[in-house]
Amino acid sequence: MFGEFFWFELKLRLRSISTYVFFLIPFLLMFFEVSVSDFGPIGTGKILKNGPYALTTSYVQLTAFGAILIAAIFGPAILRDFQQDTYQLLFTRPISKFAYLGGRWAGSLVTTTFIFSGFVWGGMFGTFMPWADKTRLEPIHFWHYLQPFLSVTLVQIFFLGSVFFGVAALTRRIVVVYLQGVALFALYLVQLFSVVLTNKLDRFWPSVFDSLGIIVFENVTRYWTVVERNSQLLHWTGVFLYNRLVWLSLGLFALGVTFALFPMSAEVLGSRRSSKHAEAAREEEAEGRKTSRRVAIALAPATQRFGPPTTWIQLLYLTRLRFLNITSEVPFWAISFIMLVFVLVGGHFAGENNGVDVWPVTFLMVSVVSGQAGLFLIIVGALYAGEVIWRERDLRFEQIHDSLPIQSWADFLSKFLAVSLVEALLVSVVLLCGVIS
Amino acid sequence: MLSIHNLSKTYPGGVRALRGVSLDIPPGMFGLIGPNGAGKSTLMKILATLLDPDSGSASLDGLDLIVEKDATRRLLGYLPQEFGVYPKMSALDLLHHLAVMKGITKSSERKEIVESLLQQTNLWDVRKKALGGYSGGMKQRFGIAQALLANPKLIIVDEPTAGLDPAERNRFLNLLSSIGRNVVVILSTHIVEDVRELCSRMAIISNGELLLEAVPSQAIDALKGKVWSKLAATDDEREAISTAFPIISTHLVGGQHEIRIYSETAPGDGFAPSEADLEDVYFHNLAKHERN
Repeated sequence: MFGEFFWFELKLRLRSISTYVFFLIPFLLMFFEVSVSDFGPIGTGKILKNGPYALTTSYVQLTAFGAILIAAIFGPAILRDFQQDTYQLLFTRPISKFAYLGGRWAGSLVTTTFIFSGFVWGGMFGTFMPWADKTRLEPIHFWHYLQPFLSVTLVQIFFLGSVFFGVAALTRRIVVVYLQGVALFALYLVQLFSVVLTNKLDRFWPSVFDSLGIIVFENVTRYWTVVERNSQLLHWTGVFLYNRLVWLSLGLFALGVTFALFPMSAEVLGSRRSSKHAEAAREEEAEGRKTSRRVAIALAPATQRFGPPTTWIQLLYLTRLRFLNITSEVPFWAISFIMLVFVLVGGHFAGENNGVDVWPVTFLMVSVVSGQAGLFLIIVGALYAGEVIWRERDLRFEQIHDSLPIQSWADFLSKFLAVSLVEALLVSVVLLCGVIS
Repeated sequence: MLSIHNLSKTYPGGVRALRGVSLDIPPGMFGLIGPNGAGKSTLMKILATLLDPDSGSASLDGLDLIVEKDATRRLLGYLPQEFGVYPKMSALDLLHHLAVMKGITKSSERKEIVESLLQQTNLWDVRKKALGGYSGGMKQRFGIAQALLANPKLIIVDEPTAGLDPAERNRFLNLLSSIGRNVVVILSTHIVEDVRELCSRMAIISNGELLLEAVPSQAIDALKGKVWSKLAATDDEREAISTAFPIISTHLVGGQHEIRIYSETAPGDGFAPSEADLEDVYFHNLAKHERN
């Protein structure tokens, strides 16, 4: 039984093209990290690009940002059944909770491990490139590639994956999984900034409770010489050991809680899940009880006016529609929220320089705030420019939309205006944040 | 009067969706029936200015539907076979938006027509709910409401009754026929019943070709006395009949096959004369087309 769920999950993932696209991301990042001399966190210098320090640094940082991939694999493993309504088929069969949850979880773990193994293969493959700087490469030591993968990446996958999986299983709402990921990330950034930007000296506790490993790694290796960095691996002793134990137990705890609280009954699952299907079903039921009007009455007449004034009003309405479409989306708010955290934290520490308070003069604030926010403005612009162009088609509303008597230039202009408005809104919020912090 | 002349459309994949279809459609309800993939939706999309035909023409009272798209869209009400909505918007908001798109810029008039359409389609109580939470039937009714905005002169509805319960279907057909007396309404369906109840004229298309254009009652009259039926007890008997006679249709009646055949003269062999109905017209034309 367990095996069936496990293989089902694994096969589904291996047949999906997204798995291989995801695999390419870590693969290519490590490939360039090793083969291009000034790419990645190590940059130029004497540190070997495929030595233990370089590999571990890259793994730590890339895995931290790869948390989104972990969420993308573990979340849908459970949510899929509720989005596609297969849960009613599943839970009317005699399946065990352990087999269902365990199989899905294990399948996701193996898939995610495969995706992140791109680090190892990409890092090895990169050393063979003709343009790679051979003076900064050591012969391939497989253990140097594998040990950090096991002690950093795999542990992260285990603990983050279990948490995402648990949240997905217990709330059965993709939005919550998403928001929880964003909240974790934002919290982590605050932690990171508060330690790094203030040059704090006592780093024991921040290191132990460092969920993504950046602080603890920096803490352990900060006084290593170049020779040490090129030969020593991060061993499971001292603060690193404590850190790993903390997060491994949190992963186990998440699994335990998930197993204990997940209800194996279609009725409970259905009533607690708030999907639009359930809502529609309830709506339908309520409808049936009402007496509905049976006779048709004549419709009110309406005059249609066309011409330049109408076109302007239509442009206004189209822009409003598209603007509301973007701002009513959860991902938009999630991105904006991360941006705000960046800006507020960045702005807060702008007044401090190497532990000394300086005047937060305008140029300092502007540079900090615009530096932090610029990236997000580009992300929002790129994401929603694409989104707004394909919006009608994605929603399958294009047949109705395309048969409306509107000018195509007004349609296009409204798309441009809506994205511009969103950006303007974000910039003014960022401006405000700069002033506040 | 909507005149369609020799419309042909071949999709890039090589599928010939329409082969020289010509039709004259007077004001009133016009039913278009045919099996799935017959080309109904293609024809309707061309008339709704969404597709350009490879050849042929279509005009409504002198207005060229294929060239003058903007003018056509001003007097068009279109309900596609499949459509989505903006999930976070309410029916009220989206109808107001669409009303503006259709040129109803005066807000008092817009309010009145939007509200009366919401009443008509029984969406009044849920008008402020997000469309994403609508059930299939509710969404379909929203589609109907938006198609009727701005008193369209040409109404094209592609399988409008799919997903409606019998009461809703009735109300919608009433609404449509009350509107459809003075304007051209084209309704595609594969439910023969819809056509019989509503349409003053009908056409059957299959495989991109027009098989029949007629007044439903006249088409039934033409089959009068030529439909015969018999109950077949076994599968073997059914097989035997189907090789000997042109079969119109077979139905299961209490576990036995009722076989209906077409014959100009009495076939004997246990066949009894049967009342012709519109379904016989439909199946007879399809079967005749297949045999040719």
